[in-house]
Amino acid sequence: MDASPKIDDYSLAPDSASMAVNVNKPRSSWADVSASEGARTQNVRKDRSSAETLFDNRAALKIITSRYGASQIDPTVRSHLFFQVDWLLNSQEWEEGDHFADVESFKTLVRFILNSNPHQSPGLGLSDAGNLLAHWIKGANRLVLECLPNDRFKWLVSCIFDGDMERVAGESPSLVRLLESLKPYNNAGWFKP
Amino acid sequence: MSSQVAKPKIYKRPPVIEAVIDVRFANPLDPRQLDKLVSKQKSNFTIQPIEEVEVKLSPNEKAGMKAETNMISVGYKLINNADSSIIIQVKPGAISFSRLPPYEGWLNLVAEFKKYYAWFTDKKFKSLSRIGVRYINRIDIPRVDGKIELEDYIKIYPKVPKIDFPDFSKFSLQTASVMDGNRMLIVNVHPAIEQPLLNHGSIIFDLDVAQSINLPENNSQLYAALDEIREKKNFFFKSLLTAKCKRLFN
Repeated sequence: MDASPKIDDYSLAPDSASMAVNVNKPRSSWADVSASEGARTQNVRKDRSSAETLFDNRAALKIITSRYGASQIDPTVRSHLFFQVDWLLNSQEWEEGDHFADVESFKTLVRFILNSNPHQSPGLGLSDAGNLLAHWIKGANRLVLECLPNDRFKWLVSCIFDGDMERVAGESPSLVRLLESLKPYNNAGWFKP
Repeated sequence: MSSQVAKPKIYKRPPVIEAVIDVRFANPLDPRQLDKLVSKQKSNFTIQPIEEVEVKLSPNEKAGMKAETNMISVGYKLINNADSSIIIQVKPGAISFSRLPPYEGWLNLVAEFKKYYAWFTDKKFKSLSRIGVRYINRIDIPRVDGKIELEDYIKIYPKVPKIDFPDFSKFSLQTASVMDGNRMLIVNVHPAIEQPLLNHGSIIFDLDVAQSINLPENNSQLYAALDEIREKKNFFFKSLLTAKCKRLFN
C-alpha cells in the first residue's frame, strides 16, 4: 500500500458544515479555520452566565485588537486599551440591562487607532446602543468619538484656538472623512501623553 | 533526531496573526476525562464549548425524509484570562494551541505548547495520528496609485497575461504539496477580510506543514519533529516572500 500522504486527505476535502466558520474563505488542512475566527461576531448564549458572557465580550474585543493590530499597534496603547476594556466590562459592576460592547463598533475604534497612531489609548465608555465611546483629553482640548459599525463616526471636538474655545460636532460616513475633518485640530495634542 | 534549533530571525514587526501547533491522537480520550481535565484550567482560562450541528435523517411518510438538527458538544475552547492571546482548543482526540499577537517567537510558542501538552497527556506519551504547525500571516502592502503590486512582495500569486487582463478585485490561491515523503505543505494566499490600514492592501499568507505518517513515537521525537516542521515552514516563509516584503517587517 502506498503510504505517502494524499493531497485529498488534507486540504481539498470539504470541511463539515458545522465547523465552517467562514465558508467563503479558502481552507487549510485543518477543520477549524483558526481559533480566533469566532471573535468576528459574538452571539450571546443563553446557557452562559453573565460573568461568562462578559468575559466572552472582553475576549472578542481583545482578539480583534490582536488580529487587527498584529504588530502595528503600539504595545503600550494595546495594554492600556485592554485595561480599559476590562474596566468597562467588569462583572462586579455589571447590572441587569447594561449593554455589551458591540463588536463591529469596536472594530471601527481599532481601525481609527491604527490609522491615527495616537501615543495614548483613549478613555472608553459605552453608548446605550453598545457603541464604543472613546475620548482623548489634553487640558481643555478634547476629542470624543462615538464609533459606529462599518467605519462610521459621530464626533465632538473642543479645542482652544487663539484663546477662544471652539466646539465642533460632526458625523463622518468613513474613517477617511473623519481623519480629513480632524486635520485642522492636529495640533490639539490629545494624542500625546 | 537532533533537537537543535537554528537561532530564529526576529522581525521587529512580525506579520503573524496566529501561530498554531496542532497534535492529534490515535486513541481519543473519554469525553468525561476531557471534562475533568478542562475543569483544572478554570482559574487561568475561560472555557467555551465547541459545538457542531448534528443532522439526523429519518423516514417520514409525508415528506419522504425528516431532518432533525441538534447542537452537540465536541470539545472546548480555552481562552486565557489575562489578555486572550492564548487559545487552546481541545477535543477528545486533539489539542490545538494558538498564539495571537504579539508573537514572541518559536521558542516561546513551543515552550507554552509543551506546558499544555503535558497537562493534556498527563505527561505520558500517547500515540499520534497527525502533527502540524500553521502560521497565518497578514501582510499589509502599501498601495501605489490605489493598487498593490502583489508580485513585488509575494512570489506565489495568480499569474495572468499582462495585456488586457483586468485588475483583480478578488483572488484565492491554494497549493498542496507532498514534501520529504511524509509531510504536506499547504499554502493559502488571498486578500484578508480585515483591511485595517488605510492605503494598504492586506493579504493573508498562510503556511501549514503537517505530518500524518511516520509519526514520532515518544515526546522527544515529537518536539524534535515540531522543530523540523517549523524549520520547513520558515524556509518557505523566506523563499516565498521578496526582500521588499521582508523589509515591511523590520
